[in-house]
Amino acid sequence: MMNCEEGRLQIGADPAGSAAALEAHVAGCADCAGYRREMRALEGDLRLAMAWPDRAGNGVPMARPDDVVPLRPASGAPDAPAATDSRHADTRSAPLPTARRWALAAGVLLAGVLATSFFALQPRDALATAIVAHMSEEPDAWAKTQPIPRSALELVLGRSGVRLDRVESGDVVYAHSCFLRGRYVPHLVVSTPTGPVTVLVLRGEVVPQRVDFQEGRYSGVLLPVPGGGGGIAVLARGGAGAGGARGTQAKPDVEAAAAGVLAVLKFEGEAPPAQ
Amino acid sequence: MNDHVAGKTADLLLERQFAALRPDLLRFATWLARDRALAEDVVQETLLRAWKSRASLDDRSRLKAWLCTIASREHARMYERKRLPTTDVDLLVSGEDPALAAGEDQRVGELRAAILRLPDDYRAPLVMQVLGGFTTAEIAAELNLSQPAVLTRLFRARDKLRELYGLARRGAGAAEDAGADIGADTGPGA
Repeated sequence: MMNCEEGRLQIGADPAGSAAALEAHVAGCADCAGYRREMRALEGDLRLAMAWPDRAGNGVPMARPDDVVPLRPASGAPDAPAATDSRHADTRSAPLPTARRWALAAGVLLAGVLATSFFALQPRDALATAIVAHMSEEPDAWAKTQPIPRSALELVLGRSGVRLDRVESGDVVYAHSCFLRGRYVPHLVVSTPTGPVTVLVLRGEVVPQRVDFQEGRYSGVLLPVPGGGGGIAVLARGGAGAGGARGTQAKPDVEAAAAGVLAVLKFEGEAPPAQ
Repeated sequence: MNDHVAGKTADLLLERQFAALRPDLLRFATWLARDRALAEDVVQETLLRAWKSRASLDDRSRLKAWLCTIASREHARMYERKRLPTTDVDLLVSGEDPALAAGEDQRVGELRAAILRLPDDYRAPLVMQVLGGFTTAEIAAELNLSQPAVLTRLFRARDKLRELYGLARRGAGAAEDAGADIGADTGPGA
């Protein structure tokens, strides 16, 4: 028979729990029943309180820039121990029966055909498409207006081995390391007189030549970095930006921002390999 | 060739799933670390490690739990590697976006501040349970604790919040006793 001490322990550890022994105890104990009502009410507020920061990242307490410690994996740290978990251990080592092998082969073939179709139907440049798709993941970046601290900008750039000499950090209103195509990519929003432009520094990506693109709400340009080692993407919102007709010049603010970034962009050290 | 294309497709889909789960991971890491910059680091290292080890993920339906597991370990690893600056909880609370705070129920804001003030030993299992969806057994495995110890910590965390939240404490017994000696795992069930 459960006592009050055991009952409250179970309620506090999991207010939604309804084990038979607990239910039997609560049915005969007004104090514990009241305690559970309080805990369940608290739980609702607890979940509401912890739904923060919201999906746009609002409401996040910010550390003061001087307190930001660049944290990188220790050189001797094991490569990826955290991702290996017995719950996810590979259980596919046993040989498959012939029928299943045929089924699997057919499945792979079908997947291949679908995937080939998928890629064949991809519009225009795959890198540009990935970049435009990424824009939809951080839509609020465009709305930022407050300059970010220089230290925060350097933190983001440093993660990808990128430096921007002589940049006016006050012009940069958003900086974030984004995971794109297996790499961390500095994603910046720069305030210009004609509106915000987004700059992605694509270190390690192969950008052989200029590509103007216009997809959905975005227009922009992909440019190789002189000297090699990657490229940059500069985007603006608005359909007609990249010059209307494809292959022509991008919007003036995009052009100016791209030229400004390329003039001060430096790659440091070896490019981090794609993951 | 087809395998190669299929692999690329799978990677593209996984990358999008990572992106979709990133806000959840950031929330999880923020409550663990109580620091946006540190949480960003945790999330980024988490996604890197997860990406490197994506072949070991057999069950895509457990992707969020898998990422949260990696994030909690990455958070612990960061503390092992460096002595991080102490977080001033009052600064964190006052640094909240005023627009967001103003539009919310004051009680929820107070509760949020109370969660931030919980000792790490109590906040971590609570975050893992509420945001990560971890079971008691999974929390025990991750934090290297016994299951009874996890139950006790979860109980004490909520009981402390109940106290800080201003709910009247009823009667004596386990809740009173356990709340009084917060910090040890020798309470009921431990």
